[in-house]
Amino acid sequence: MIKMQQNRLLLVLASLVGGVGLGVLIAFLVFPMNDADLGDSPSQEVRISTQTNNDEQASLATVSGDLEEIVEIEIASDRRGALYQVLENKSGDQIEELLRQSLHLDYSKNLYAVQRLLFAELARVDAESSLELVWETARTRWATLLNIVANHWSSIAPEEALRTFSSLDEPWKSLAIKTVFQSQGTLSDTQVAELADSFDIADHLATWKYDVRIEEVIEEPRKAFGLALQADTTESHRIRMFTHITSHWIEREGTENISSMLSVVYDVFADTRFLWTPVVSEIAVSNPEVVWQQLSSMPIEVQKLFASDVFKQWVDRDPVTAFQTVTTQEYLDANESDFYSLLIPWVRAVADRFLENLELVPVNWKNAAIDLAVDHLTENSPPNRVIQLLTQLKSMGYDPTEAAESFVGSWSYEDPIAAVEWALENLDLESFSGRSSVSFALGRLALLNPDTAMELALEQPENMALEQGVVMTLLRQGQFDRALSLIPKVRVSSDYPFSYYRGVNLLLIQAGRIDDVLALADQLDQTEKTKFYSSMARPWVRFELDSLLERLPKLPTSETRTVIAQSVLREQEYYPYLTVEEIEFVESFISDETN
Amino acid sequence: MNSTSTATPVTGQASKFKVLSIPLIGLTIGLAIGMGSYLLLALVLNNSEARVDSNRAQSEFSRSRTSEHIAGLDWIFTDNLDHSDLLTLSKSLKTLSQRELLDLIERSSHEPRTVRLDTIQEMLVECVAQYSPKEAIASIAQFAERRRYPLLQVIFSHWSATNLDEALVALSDLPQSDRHIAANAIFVEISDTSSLDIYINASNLKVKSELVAIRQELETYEMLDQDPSGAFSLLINDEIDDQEQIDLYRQIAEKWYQTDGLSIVPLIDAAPLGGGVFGELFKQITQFDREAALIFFSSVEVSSQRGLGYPLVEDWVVEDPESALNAVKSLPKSFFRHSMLRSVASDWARKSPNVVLERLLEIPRLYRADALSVAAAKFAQEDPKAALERIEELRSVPGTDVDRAVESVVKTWSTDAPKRALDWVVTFVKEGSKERADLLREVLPKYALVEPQRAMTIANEESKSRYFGGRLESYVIRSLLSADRFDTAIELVESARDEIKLSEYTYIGVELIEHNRMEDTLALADSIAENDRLDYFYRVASLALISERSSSVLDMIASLPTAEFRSDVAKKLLNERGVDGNFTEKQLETLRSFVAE
Repeated sequence: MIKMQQNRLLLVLASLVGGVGLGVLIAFLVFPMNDADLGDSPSQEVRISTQTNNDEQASLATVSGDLEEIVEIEIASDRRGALYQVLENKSGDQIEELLRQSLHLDYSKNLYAVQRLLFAELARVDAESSLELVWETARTRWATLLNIVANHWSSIAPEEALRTFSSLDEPWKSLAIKTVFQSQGTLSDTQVAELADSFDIADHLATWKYDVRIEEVIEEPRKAFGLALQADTTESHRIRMFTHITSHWIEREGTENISSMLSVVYDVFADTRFLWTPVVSEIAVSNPEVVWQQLSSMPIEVQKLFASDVFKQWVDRDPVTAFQTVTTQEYLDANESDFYSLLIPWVRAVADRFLENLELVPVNWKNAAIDLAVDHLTENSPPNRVIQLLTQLKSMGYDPTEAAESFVGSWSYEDPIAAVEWALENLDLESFSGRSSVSFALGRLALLNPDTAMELALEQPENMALEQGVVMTLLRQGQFDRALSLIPKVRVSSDYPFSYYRGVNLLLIQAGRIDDVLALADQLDQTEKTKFYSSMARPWVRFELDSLLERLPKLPTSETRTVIAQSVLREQEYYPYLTVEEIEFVESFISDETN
Repeated sequence: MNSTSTATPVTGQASKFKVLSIPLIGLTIGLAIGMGSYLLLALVLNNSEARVDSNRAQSEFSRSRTSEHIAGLDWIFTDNLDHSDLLTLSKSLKTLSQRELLDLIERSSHEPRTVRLDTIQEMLVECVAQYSPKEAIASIAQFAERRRYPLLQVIFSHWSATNLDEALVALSDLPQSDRHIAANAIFVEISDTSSLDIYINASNLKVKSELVAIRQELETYEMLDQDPSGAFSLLINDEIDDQEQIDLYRQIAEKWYQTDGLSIVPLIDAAPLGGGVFGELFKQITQFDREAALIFFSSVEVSSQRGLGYPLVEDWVVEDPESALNAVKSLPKSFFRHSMLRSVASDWARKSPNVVLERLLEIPRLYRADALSVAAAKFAQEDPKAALERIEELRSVPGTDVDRAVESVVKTWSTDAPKRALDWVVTFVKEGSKERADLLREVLPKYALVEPQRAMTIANEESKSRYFGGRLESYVIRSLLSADRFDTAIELVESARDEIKLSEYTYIGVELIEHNRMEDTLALADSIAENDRLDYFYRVASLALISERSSSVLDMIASLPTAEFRSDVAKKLLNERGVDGNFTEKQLETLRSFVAE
């Protein structure tokens, strides 16, 4: 009995052992424990058809279907593998066709990823077609796809790539050329320089080289800034270099020790003209209040240089606190001469509620703040809002005269008639600045409607000489015939004719209209005529010397000849221009008449 | 019994069944245990692989396998891989662990560049990104920008497809330049900008600015083809730095130019563009046809003409001065033509002074003096004496105004070597001539900083010339003041001629106030004739007010030695027109309080 039980136990154990062994064997065969099982990446069977080169159309039709399937594959590496399988032994034309078809497929999550791969592969066999197809995609993708094409093209045929890219429009030209410079590995520096010269892209090469050199020293901001400062490049590129260096610096150093950063910036930039602005702004942008605090404990010359840039960032974020800080008596006493540069960004920041905030402005800066606010509103709002503000300011006891004059000037660009009419009613025409504003606006009107402008000008008192302004504006703008037709209406004040005559003469003679000048002279009485001839000598001798020498002997009276000859010689004394022979010739007219 | 007999075979069958069933059951259970154990082991191994970094033993195991696998993939860093190779690699990569992939990425960064290296790196990074995008980002951190950007696109393109929220959070950990690339990779496919607003509202400050920029970019693209001017306004009015949007601006300029031609230039000029963006757009547009641009600019409003013409001509001269000169010459006679000719002559001389001197007669007579003056200054940087000799030879050429060119040389010379420049002027230029006066005006202020006493002596002697209006000494004093050498100026002012003394004392007094040396301003009065002192304090106060020093002015008046002085100065100031605007109400009260009843 016991033996029987032992046998059974043995049998059970043996069966179990055998079962385990068999189980492991079966499991191993059915679920082989290969490397793929060790990773997260599930393999996905992809059905990929094979094509025959004999029947291209049929093949492409199959491929098209496959492309849609490939796009559906969720795992990026599987998708890529499937695509490479499809591309095996494909010609450039076939890849191009595939890419074209992909551009017409309905949107799908992975379609763009597949297109990127196709652009890369096509660029390797037919870069020009690949480039052409870039422009058939959505604009948002041009930069990325162009970069792909340029990158792959440059590794196959960099010279050809540069030639083609050098004729692209901006910004694509710069983008693609930079990629080629970066990616190509077969051309020597000399070859690249020669190609850049021959394709007229030497400035692109120089820009790229500066970028490379900046990258080499970017861990040393002082050196990098110095390099960017000395670079012979465009203002825009220089600013990009500054910003890049600064943002890298901040990423690395954090904002723990702003004052030491600002010290470096001061050392490097103090002798420049505002080139520190992008650097200081970048440092201040993330936490301007903290930067301001640290700046406040630095030497006064550093504060003076950087305060407005830091303040600008701060005021954008928190205009109230920022302005309170700089309007304390203590701050003003020490920095009053620099206060205007702080007022500008603050006024812009609070422009929508300027009147409520005006009381925060120190008394002797209120007028400046008003001028800034009106200017800002003029640029950004319709005229009636500006007029409303001017009226409110007046009713509150402020004097917005300068602001109003400036407003008239700006308004006259949009609606000169309205501007002139408003100015005539509201500006102080007794003051020089008030008259100048009206005159400017009338000039704007003259360019659109000279007759109305002249009419309005003549309605004003003679001593304002507004009609002279109308004529001068037309002459400056080259509307000579129109100006000449209005000149007879001008009331020439006998007190100040010279500047008017000089202006008329200069502009007409510069345009070569000597006959018109002489005809104008003929219309004047003898006294005025002398003044007029005298003022025409200088432009005549300089701009139309040949005409002067030819016509001087033919002028109607000896007095006229003498006046002009004397003026010419007086001019010669200060600004030598004539040859000895020419001087003698001109002198002969003086001696002739005086003898 | 029957039952027994019948029972026996049954029992026997049952026994047989039992005998058979035992190994069968055992086998089945064993099979289950065996397979279960196998799969469990596989699962355990699998999990261990996934936590490779936290399991040292497993890592060692992995490493030993890595070298084997990686060694087998040497061929991927060779040239001439075709699609079948890439396909093979694609399959092979599936068999690699994350560790192995990371090692391969690391290795790829040191491999010499092959035509397929970029593709290989993309494939490797793509595979790692499927495991762990964060690991993938870390693996390319040391790559140069050129390679890092496309690989970041691969990572974030994959990441946003599988877990957009996580990808967005990860953006804020990236450096700024990488963040922009990654954010673009995430949102490049977004067609509806309102969905982007959701993310903008939910994101932190760093990421928000990137997303706002992307939204702006998408909105610009929506408008660009149909309404480039609208797209331009959109960018002008946003809060984003213009420089960061330079590529968008360039696309707009391109499109806008195609539709509206050169008329867009004044519009762009009038827009408040910062950061050198206008300059880039201007160059981009005018390069299409400079001649047409020049003609067009001659027809725009006169207030804009020169502002547009100068940069055009400046660029043109650098590339092709002859054609620039010819184009400008062929413009209709006008003030604009005159200004541009002047600009071409000067710019050309600055660029190629030797060429310009040789071809001076090709430049119209009126502009030769400008060209010669600029060229002379360039020569003076090398050798001023040789420059003077060279330009002297041109005196017979009409319009050259050699005296002006000499002045230009001396100006440059006096900056580098003021003593030598002054000696040359004093020795070689005719006494009492206008030319000598002009040159001394240039050189003496610079020489004053080297030898102030001698400079003042020369100024005294030369001031007799009719061309100075008697003010050459002022040039010496002002030069010293602008170099903050107040004490030297005070020492020398006494030797100035009487007729200009008071005005010079006044300027010194004001400068001292501006440099917080009020006591010296007051003390200076002791050197002035008594009946000029009131005038001195009044003039100092007036000029200091122009420099917005109202508090200092009140302090000065308060410190004047007698009440009578205080009252007289205050009274004169109060009588000055518009003085109210320089003082606050409180300050005006103080000023009035000085005035005697």
